[in-house]
Amino acid sequence: MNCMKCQENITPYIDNELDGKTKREFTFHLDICEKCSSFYKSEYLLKSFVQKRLKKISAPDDLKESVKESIRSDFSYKKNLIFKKKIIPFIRPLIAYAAAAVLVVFFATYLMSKPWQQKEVDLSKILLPDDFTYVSKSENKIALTGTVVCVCCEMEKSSAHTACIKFGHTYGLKTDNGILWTIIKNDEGMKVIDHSNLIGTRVKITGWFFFKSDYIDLEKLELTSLTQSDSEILSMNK
Amino acid sequence: MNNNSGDNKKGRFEKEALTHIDSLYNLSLYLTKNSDDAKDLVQETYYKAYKFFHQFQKGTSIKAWLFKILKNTFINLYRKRIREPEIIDYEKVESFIGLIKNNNFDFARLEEDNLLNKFLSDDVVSALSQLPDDFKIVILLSDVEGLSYKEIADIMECPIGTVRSRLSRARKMLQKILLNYALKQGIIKGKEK
Ligand SMILES: [Zn+2]
Ligand SMILES: [Zn+2]
Repeated sequence: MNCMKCQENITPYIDNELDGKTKREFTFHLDICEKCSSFYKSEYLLKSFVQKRLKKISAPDDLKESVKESIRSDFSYKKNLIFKKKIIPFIRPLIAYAAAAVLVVFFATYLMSKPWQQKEVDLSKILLPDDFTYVSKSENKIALTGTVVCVCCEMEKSSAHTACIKFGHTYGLKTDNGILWTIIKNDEGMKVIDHSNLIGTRVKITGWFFFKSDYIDLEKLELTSLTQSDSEILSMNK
Repeated sequence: MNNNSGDNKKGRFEKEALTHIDSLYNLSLYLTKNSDDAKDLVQETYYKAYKFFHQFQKGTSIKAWLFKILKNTFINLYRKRIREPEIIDYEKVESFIGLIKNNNFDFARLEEDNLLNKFLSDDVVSALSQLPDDFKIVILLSDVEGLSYKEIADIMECPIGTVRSRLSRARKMLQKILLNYALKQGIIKGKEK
């Protein structure tokens, strides 16, 4: 079982949905692969954490009573219309295409509830590099420069990650403040993902940035030549 | 003996269906986000279930059947009233490239550093309520109600593979939200600039 297959099996393994043979192959791979076993550990923890903490909220007594009443009276007093109360506004996705829509529905809600534009949210400060510019503030569409990296190898910090050598890298962008951004696999993103020779290249990226999750939905990628200060930084890091 | 069979139905329905009211209410609350609508949604679910009780197949799970009615009622009566995004074909959305961790922390580290207990139950509730409905539902049905993929697939009327991928994504989103929350609350320290 390779890493990709293994990572697909993490969820069903945790939920006890794998057959015996796949289960054995899965645990065998986990034993030898640190990367997959760390993904496994995180998801396993999350599940057990949710199970422990997410207390089921019981139905209020008046509801229980009234449903019981309704049954006994064949629902003869049933209210006709329901949901006349508060309608919660649902935020439309700002980006049209599907690759990002899932994220947007979720992040738009998140961002709206705690607008990151406000000063007191310093998370965005932590995450945003100095050189970014807004293309469209309302859509979180920004442009910034960084270096194409493999996120896994980068996290390992040492030489290339052994699993990557076997199964391929996970492409992303490292901005100058050290943040690793993962590139969403849409059409534009695939251009990066498919071209391993881009690793180490300085690029300017325009796209929709998901600050809370460090994903980039690429619109455009341009190669930039090194500026003076870039080369200085690079030579210093050697 | 019309009356008798009517009473029989009432009795059976009360005995078999009413025991799941807590589960139904809990899911309703997450979907509607307020207790009044949640109560109405549960009422409506029981009304429909009662009306179509003869269609319920004996030997199958009545809990799953009730969940399915609840989900469809919610979609038809509630979600339609709200401006909805274009239908998203989740299967076409490429799975995200693993769970990407900021350099210094991942969810497992919270456990190692004994930080998980710093989260309140409310934090988890609020994290879950930020997920899109379909993702919320699979988490509740799987992790809280303990249903199998097969049962969840029946309720959601989708393939089993979809259940798996939604669960996987939902859990990744939850990890992310909780980690961000921990960062903001200073439970864990963010990267130095
Ligand atoms: Zn692996
Ligand atoms: Zn790599």
